[in-house]
Amino acid sequence: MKILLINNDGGGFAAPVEVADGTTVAKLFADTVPGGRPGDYLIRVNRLPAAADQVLAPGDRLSLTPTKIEGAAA
Amino acid sequence: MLPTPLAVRLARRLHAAWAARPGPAPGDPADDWPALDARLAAARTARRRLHLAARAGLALILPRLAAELAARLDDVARAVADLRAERTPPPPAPDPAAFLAELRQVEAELGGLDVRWADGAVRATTTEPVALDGVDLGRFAVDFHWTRVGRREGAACFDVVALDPHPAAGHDGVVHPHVRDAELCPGEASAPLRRAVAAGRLADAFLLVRSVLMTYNPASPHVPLAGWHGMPCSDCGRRVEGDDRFSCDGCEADLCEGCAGSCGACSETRCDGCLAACGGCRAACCPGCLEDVGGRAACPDCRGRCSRCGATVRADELTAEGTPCPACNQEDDIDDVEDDNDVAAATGGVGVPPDPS
Repeated sequence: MKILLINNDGGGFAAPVEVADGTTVAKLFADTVPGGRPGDYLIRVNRLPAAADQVLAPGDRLSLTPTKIEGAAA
Repeated sequence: MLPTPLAVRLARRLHAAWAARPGPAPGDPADDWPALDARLAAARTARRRLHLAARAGLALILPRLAAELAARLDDVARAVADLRAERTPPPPAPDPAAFLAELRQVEAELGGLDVRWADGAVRATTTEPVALDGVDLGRFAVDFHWTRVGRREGAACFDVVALDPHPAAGHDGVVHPHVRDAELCPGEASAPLRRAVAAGRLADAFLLVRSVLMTYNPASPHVPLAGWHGMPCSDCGRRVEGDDRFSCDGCEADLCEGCAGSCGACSETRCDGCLAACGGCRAACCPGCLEDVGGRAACPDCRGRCSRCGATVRADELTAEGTPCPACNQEDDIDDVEDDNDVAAATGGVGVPPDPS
């Protein structure tokens, strides 16, 4: 099934991705941000906070946004 | 929460702003090619280090270096993807319904929106004061200017406004380590912010701005948080700021007016640790103005140059300007003694000088 994955970490990509049926939010997070801690991200499914064990459905919109990002001086 | 008619009107206005964007500018994106070059160089360095370690039989460090190379190659892949993304036309403008959903999400995440039609901006306010490393920076409003869409990119579409400013000492425009004159320097958020704005993902963009505001990057602030309320004088510890703050020309230590000394010879500002006493006149001088003369530090006034051998000597050893130094004087004495001995030998002690011919 296809979902829209928005990863606001790094380059900030938004693209439809193919995931297996039964994929949970936690599984997709781990695949997308290897080594990342879910607590350091705002994880939203269809713009709403999501539980780690929430199973994704076709057409879902999942966004990952880091809560801490280093700014700069210029 | 914005009343529905107002939110719908705003969503339509945002849709119109995105729909009116021009296409991608011709030419290369300015920042991404140097970024790719830098990442390629880093990958080559990692590869060389791995190769050297393998050749030297450093088995313990090999896994770490291999992981380092893999990470650097991932960086290269991201840089290539960035470049590819820059060359593709911007995504189509989201429809008004999508913008309405964005606005509602911003309200839910940040706690409310305020539309400023005259400014062409929509404002979200951080719900709680920002405090970083123990420094209270107050609350911030984040203004998104839809009039800038298509003309400016990413963070430049936003203004960050301090609602109860706590600016850095001596820097009224710096209200946050990464905000100067309402302009956010997004650092690592630069690329995702650019993409979020380009795609009309307004909620993501606001959240990214908030994430930057909630984070301190000590490697690249406008003003370090450690010196937010002024810098401590390195000699006495008193906090100093603005015109009361001096800096040692030698070690760049911050100084208060009372502790800022100056070199007795060149008058440069120096801290106590960067001044030493002249061994002659005891004047405090910087290391650049002191010279070791016969095991004693001497300032320019307390040293001189021998008119004969050019050696630097203590000024009090020269009887007058242009006279020889003690060593040259002793050399003259030895020459005289040698001459006397030669004469005595030649004359058999009679004391008659030999025929010069």
